[in-house]
Amino acid sequence: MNNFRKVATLALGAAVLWAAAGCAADTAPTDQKTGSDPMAALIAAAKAEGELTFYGDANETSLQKWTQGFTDEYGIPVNVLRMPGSELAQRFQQEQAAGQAQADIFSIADRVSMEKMVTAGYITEYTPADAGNYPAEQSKAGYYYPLQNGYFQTIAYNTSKVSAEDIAKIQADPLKAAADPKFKGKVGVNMPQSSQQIAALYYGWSEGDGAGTYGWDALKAVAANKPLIQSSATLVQSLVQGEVSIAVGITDSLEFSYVAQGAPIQFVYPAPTVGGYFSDAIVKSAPHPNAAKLFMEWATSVEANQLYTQITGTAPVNSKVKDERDIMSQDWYTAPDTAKVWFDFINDDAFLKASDAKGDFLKKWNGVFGYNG
Amino acid sequence: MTLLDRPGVAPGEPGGSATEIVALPPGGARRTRLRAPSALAIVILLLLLGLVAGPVLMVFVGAVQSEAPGLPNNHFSWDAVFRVYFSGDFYGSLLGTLGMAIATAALSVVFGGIAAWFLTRVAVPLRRLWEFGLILPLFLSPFVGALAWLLLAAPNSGIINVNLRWMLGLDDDTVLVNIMTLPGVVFVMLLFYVPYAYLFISSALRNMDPSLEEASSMNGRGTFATAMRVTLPMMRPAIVASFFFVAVLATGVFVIPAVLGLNTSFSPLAVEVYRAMTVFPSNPPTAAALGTLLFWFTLVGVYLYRRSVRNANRYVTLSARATRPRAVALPVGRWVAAAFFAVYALLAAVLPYLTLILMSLTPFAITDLRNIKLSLSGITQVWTRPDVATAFGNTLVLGIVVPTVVVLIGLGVAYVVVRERGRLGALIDYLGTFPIAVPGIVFATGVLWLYVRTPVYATVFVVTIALIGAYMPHGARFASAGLIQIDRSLEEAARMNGASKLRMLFTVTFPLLRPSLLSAWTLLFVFATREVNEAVILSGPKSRPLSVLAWNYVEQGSLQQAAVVGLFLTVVMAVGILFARVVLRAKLDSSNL
Repeated sequence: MNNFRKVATLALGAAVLWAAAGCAADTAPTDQKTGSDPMAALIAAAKAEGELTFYGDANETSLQKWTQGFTDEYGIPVNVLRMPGSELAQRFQQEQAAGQAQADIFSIADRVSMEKMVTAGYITEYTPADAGNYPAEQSKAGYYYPLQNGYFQTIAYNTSKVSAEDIAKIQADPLKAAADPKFKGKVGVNMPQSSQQIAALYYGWSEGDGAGTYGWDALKAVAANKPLIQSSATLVQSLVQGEVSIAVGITDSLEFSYVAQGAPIQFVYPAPTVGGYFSDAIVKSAPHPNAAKLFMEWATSVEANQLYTQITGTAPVNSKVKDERDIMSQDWYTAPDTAKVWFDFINDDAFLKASDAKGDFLKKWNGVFGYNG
Repeated sequence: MTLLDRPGVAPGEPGGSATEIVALPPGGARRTRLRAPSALAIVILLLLLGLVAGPVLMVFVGAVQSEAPGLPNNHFSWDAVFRVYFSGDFYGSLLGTLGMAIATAALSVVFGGIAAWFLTRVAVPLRRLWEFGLILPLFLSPFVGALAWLLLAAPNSGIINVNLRWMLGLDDDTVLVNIMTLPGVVFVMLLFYVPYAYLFISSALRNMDPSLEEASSMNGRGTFATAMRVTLPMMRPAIVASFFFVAVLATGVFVIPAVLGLNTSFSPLAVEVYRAMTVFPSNPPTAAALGTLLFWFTLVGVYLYRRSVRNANRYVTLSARATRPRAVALPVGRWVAAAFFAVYALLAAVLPYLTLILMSLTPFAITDLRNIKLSLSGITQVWTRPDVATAFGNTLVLGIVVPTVVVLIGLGVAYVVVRERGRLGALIDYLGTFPIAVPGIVFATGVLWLYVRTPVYATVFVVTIALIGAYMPHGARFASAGLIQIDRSLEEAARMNGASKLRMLFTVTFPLLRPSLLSAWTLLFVFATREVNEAVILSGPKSRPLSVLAWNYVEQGSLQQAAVVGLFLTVVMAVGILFARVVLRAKLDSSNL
């Protein structure tokens, strides 16, 4: 593995050289002073800086294990600051506006926030050599790339609480199954107030693309089962311990690790579902700019994406990485069809208007579910 | 809640003991006694302005902005204030929050007061153990405590329900206990608030002049009549104080109903504040404006409290430490009480901690004890984290510096308020109480706005400053309770013999107060070690304490690791308390508070 990595690094270095020759902007590393191997020069400069600070809102354990891969490779320790996305964005903006240079890499699930940072001039232009292996529609070329895998909303069930027949029904149409009266008192739902993505999930069913199939009536039928209303982290706990048998609106990235540990849960991606990718970028005021560039080069490598995939259990985003996850061989698991996932809710005016403080969507949801959040 | 409270003060005739009679007609006397503020008062005022008024002011500034202060596109705007105060969107939330806070406080005072009476007046067997069991929930963050109860007593899958079903051969749908109901939520909330009421009331009961109760008893009144007609009126200041203290703290609670899935008819203001900060798109001005809304209500609370105490103390006897109150003879009752306390300790301390240990040893929650698989993987995962040592170090810094500074400044605040009084004293009293009026998340944001342009930003120093400000009310309250018990003439003697005020404080006041201050230190050590809300907002990647690691684990759904860190924190607290007890001879109980 290590040898493989070295070869890969060399290949990467060559690619970087080639790319550097082709582009005039600040892209992959060049070294005017010595003219020698730019990758080696970058590594040396990064090592001289001594450390790297990573701001992100993904799962903290995953981020730590992933960045540890970078530390193992180059001996540069990474400090991870993990906060919920909205707080992270606020904090980062505050720091940047105040001239506090803390973060080197900024990573966030919410793309609107990332766009805001680019517009504000907080993000530096940089194109990693292998940036082409990442989906262009989830990137802003030269600024940010979806280096961490995507995550998607699911409907999940506890296999020790439902029969094989139930599972077949849930797999066929999970939202309809959640409305089955046999699950009365044993359904859990996440509330749309907990994140914009969950709001979009319910919106998709009730007023968006899925309204023809489901509409508000389908949600009313789920509500008739008197569901337990909890936010993601608590809801997944309730499902695992069997308090609820079926749960609507849990992110798959929360579930993969439970499945890997043998917890009795399985899940299915409803149609339409919503999802997103984390965007990763270098901060303009990065106190360790070379370490940041080296990190972007490392993070776009095949090995780094394999490592992230192995840690999180999520589907690899790098087109050169094969999806060889154990879960792919499970009968119950079907990966989400990214062509059909609703990513664009962040730009959907009707949704944004309905779900903001003045809109009526949240009020309507509260009315249907008898929730007073 | 504020510092003019006099636990252990008896209204009525002095009864011939060595006491000082202070005739204090409300307001009037104080106004005539205007004098130049002392140097100590000015120093304390400056400290409070920096630690408390600065961040609180930033919150007010933040409420009238279009975005968070300091951002480039930000401008002055009344939008957030208008929405919070006048749009009507938050009125239901406000009323519900106030109702919940008042109900929680009332119940806490009733139960805490009854517990305090039994533990101070009746020779309940093993009473030290019960007292410890009563305050043990304070060692857990309410979030972790609520999660433990969810695992224990959820209706379908709780440990108690699942296992009693197979043990007793009951139907699968039998629900024996259900924590996810209104009484269940109230019960868990009380576990975390009764200890405050208990600590305040029992310290007053212990330090009360016993001669009045004895007189009542000699005149033929029974135990109950004496308790109701003599003890209870005498406890009024302590009861009012703990009522307001708990009520204000309870306005900030939201995790317990949220975790237990209770769908109340309103969403607590603290939840609205949290959402305004965390749910995209975040809106810091709204959060700040909500913070100011709660602030006014607390201000009214402080004012009412000061009034009520002033009237209660029209004729006050300030006696030096009296003899111990005699024990009430309840030959059967004391065993019944012991049984009640044992059940309470089981529910409040033993079961949640056992659950936490179980959580830390199982990779995911299995509630059927027959199927449990234990593993140490959670412990190794936490242990091998690269930043666990740094986090431990940060927790130690917070755990040592915060209580020490808070106790010292708290002593200064109490001295100015209790001994020097005057207008400046009143101002300092209000300032020292403000931080509990502002939700932690908002207060911390104020600190962030204040310090983001300074070099100390993102260091553990900023977290320390925020926590010192946040716990100032606790420190001042504990110090003043102790100070009131000390006969003023001892201090005056030192001054007459030519000692400076500082020297008097260090040679007379401080040594006499030592037991109270050490008890306060120990309790504040526990709070500073456990605190999450503010540390989450303020710490950088290298300045996070253990409590923040636990919180992040909870947020990502890794409860096993969260339980491991939670237990580790409890061990840190236990070691700290043991250290305080053995080396400093400080007891974590109410006798010195």
